[in-house]
Amino acid sequence: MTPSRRRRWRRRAAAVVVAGGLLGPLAGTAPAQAAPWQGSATATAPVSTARWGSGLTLVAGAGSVAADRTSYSLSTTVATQAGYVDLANTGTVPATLSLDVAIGAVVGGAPATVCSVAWDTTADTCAGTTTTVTLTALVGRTAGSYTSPGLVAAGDAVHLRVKLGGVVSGVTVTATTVVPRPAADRTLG
Amino acid sequence: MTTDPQHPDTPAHCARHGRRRRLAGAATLAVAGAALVGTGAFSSWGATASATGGLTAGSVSVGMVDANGGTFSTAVGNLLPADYFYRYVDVTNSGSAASTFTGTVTATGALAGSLQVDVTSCSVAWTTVSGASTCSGTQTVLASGTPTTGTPLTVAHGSIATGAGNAQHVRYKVTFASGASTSLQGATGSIAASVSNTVVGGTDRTGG
Repeated sequence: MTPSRRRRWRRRAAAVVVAGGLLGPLAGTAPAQAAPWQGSATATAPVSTARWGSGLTLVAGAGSVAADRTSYSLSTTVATQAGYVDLANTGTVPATLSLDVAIGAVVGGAPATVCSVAWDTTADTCAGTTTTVTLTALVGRTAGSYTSPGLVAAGDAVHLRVKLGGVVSGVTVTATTVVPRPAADRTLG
Repeated sequence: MTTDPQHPDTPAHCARHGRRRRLAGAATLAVAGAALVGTGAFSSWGATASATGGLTAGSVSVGMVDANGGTFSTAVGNLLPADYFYRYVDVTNSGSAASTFTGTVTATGALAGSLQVDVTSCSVAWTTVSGASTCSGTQTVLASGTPTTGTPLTVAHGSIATGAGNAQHVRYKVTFASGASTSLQGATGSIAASVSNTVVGGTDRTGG
């Protein structure tokens, strides 16, 4: 056999081996499997979570609310001043709202009062029920806190009036804890 | 007319002619017989029997039917930590044969990993009395866990026979994690339940 014929023979033999290696697995001995039939059904429910929070809004009168709505400040003078502030439920679920009141002087009377409905800021009257925020005189200042007696619906508010005179000082109202409604069975919504 | 002494004209005297005639006659008979056979002239007796077996292809079909007065796809909003809700589904085998069913519960969106799911079946239909779901039959826990992104909760429904009367009464309880991060406020997602079965042939059906 001439060298050239020997090379051709080797190439052909190699091609046969490669072809066998490729075709072998395809024609393997694994048993044929029946195609499976599958049935399926799916049901989907969208879910979303709540948000909870509170924010102060100056409704009328003296003083100002911080941009982040967490505090209200009123500088008092000898003359009596009043500020009407709402502590609103800015969340999406009913919640218990709380606020702190701090006065930089020892004062008496009832400088902070909550009305069960919106204050009539013109007549300075409450058509509902009033609740005095209990303040405690401390060294050089007066402070107290208030928590709504029940859940405040989303979007509703606690209506606070701060009214003070005869003392040169400052009043600060701060929105504090928000406790959303208790966990519940939500099957029906 | 000349006469060959070795070959007399009279047949009686011609032995060679006699043999030829006999051979010719036999050949003629053979050809005629073959022709008769070839043309089917012989009568034949025949009998044929047949049997027919009805064959029907099987079918595979799964149903998830809302049950106990609720609708699975009803949206649930404003979930708070530890809030929970129930969904009821009757899983039916609408196919042609009993088979084994498996299911998954998938949570998507930001709530994946924060929704605990408990899947329970009842041997009879679930009922709700005074807001509480009850099973007057036998309860079986099918699965329990918290599906995460890419890892659904697998539910072993087991074998379900065909027909609505053999439906599996399934209750899904979904609970928003009590320790969920406040960063999940206002998050959205979904909860999906799927049920499927797979039927593979290749079995000897000789007996039916």
